[in-house]
Amino acid sequence: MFLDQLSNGLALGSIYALTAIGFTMVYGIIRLINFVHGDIYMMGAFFALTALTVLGMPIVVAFIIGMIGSVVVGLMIAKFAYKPVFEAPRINLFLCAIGAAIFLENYAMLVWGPQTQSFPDIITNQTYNFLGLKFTTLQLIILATATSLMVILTYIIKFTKMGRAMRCTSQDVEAAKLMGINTHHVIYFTFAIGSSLGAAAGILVGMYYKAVYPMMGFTSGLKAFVAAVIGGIGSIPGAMLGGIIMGIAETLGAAYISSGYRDAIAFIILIIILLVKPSGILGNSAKEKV
Amino acid sequence: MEAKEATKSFGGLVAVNKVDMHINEGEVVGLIGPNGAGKTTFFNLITGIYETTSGEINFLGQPIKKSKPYEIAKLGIGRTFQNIRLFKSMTALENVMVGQYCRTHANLLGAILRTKAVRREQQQMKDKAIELLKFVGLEDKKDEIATSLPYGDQRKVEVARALATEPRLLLLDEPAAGMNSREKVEMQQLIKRIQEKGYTVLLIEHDMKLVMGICDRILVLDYGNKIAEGLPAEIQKSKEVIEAYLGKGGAA
Repeated sequence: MFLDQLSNGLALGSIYALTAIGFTMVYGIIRLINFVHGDIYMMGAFFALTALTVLGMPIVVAFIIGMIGSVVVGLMIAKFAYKPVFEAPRINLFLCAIGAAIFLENYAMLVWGPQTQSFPDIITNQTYNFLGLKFTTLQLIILATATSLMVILTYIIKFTKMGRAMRCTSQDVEAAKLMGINTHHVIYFTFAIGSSLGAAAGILVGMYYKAVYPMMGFTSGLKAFVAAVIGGIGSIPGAMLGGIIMGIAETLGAAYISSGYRDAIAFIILIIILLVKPSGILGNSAKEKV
Repeated sequence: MEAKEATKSFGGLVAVNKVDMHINEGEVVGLIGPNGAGKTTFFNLITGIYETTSGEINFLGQPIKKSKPYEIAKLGIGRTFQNIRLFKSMTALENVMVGQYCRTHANLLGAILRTKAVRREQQQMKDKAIELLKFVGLEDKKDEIATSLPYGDQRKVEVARALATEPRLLLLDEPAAGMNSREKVEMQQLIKRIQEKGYTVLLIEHDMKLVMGICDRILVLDYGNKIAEGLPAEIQKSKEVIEAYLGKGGAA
């Protein structure tokens, strides 16, 4: 029982991790809690579903279309909802984020209808055994997709010119500009990457729970935010860790305490972390700039 | 570079008032003045952080009023900061490589696919960054996290990073501030070597020995006004300058 739940938790956790990365990256660059992120995740799932069922594309193509579609949505939000208020106090940006979230949720209801749509069964599930852990094919696909996306992301951030520019921008925007870094490009790029990972998570969730609906991003967005805070907001390894911890805690909690408390568990962990280590597990304690 | 009646005011306070100046290629010009004289504000005007309220600043014949800071770096103005602003969690080498950002062409797709051109460029960037660290005398510390370096070394990394942008004009904002006398001598020698390489340098510094020792020409600001300009020896004798620093009685 415990081991079964652990593999469920890992699969769910890797999805949370993917979503949390998008949150944490945008926060790292422009100090914005991007509350539209959950809805980008939802849009990704709908795009992929449409490509799969209406256009009859194979799943891999549908997956990529979902990611690309979300990148376009993410960039449009950055351009039209955030760019005009970049220089304004953060609260203005935050309000724009909430506005954009409400817009996207209602737009999705308009286009795809408010009811839950089922995601077709495309994968025939078999069970595999790994060191006592049982994984279904779908769980393995989720783990493999999430892990490879995270590896690619880590590579981009650590070793490419753009990744270096991103790290600079998050550490000191003014100095980055003066070293010739086009920080606007960096910000858009961050939104693009975050949105594509969010979309990937949304599609994986759609496949996992076989359900896609316009409000699916709300709770997930909130939970991903919690995962990002648990790991230390602004820290990408932190978001990965926070996501996995939350996924496992949630499934174990649902199994051993009560499935009714599933959503509450995330917030209980959040409260504990905020009491014990407010900066998050891998976060730096905030240093005030003089 | 040339400034014509460059002025910047913040509300009623005129921080830089109608300053005229020019720097010729290959010159080392010192910018001195008491605290609050407007030296750093003047630097910020040159690098596009502030826009001039009136007057203009031209660089290589182009007005830089409307350019964004990152475009100015591309135009060829590199700078260091009065308070060190290295990218804290990066190594010394990475910090210097960042400086080359605006001089390289790799796009992301190429970087992921690791095309031959990108790999070559990466290698060139790295080689050049190492060369620059060697130039400032820190090649053996290239893999240390920038903020774990001693203060004097952090300044040198900043200089190397500014040089990596391939500046036609290098702005050094108090490079010797907070240094001990041995570090100051090292910094002076470093600036001398930068000059020998043919760079044009505009230097803000409070340490008179350093300024007098290396500058071809000195400009003195006080309350935003240019009060003197000339050779180091002339400045040392200038009545206005002594007054600005020591008050009226000091000139006697």
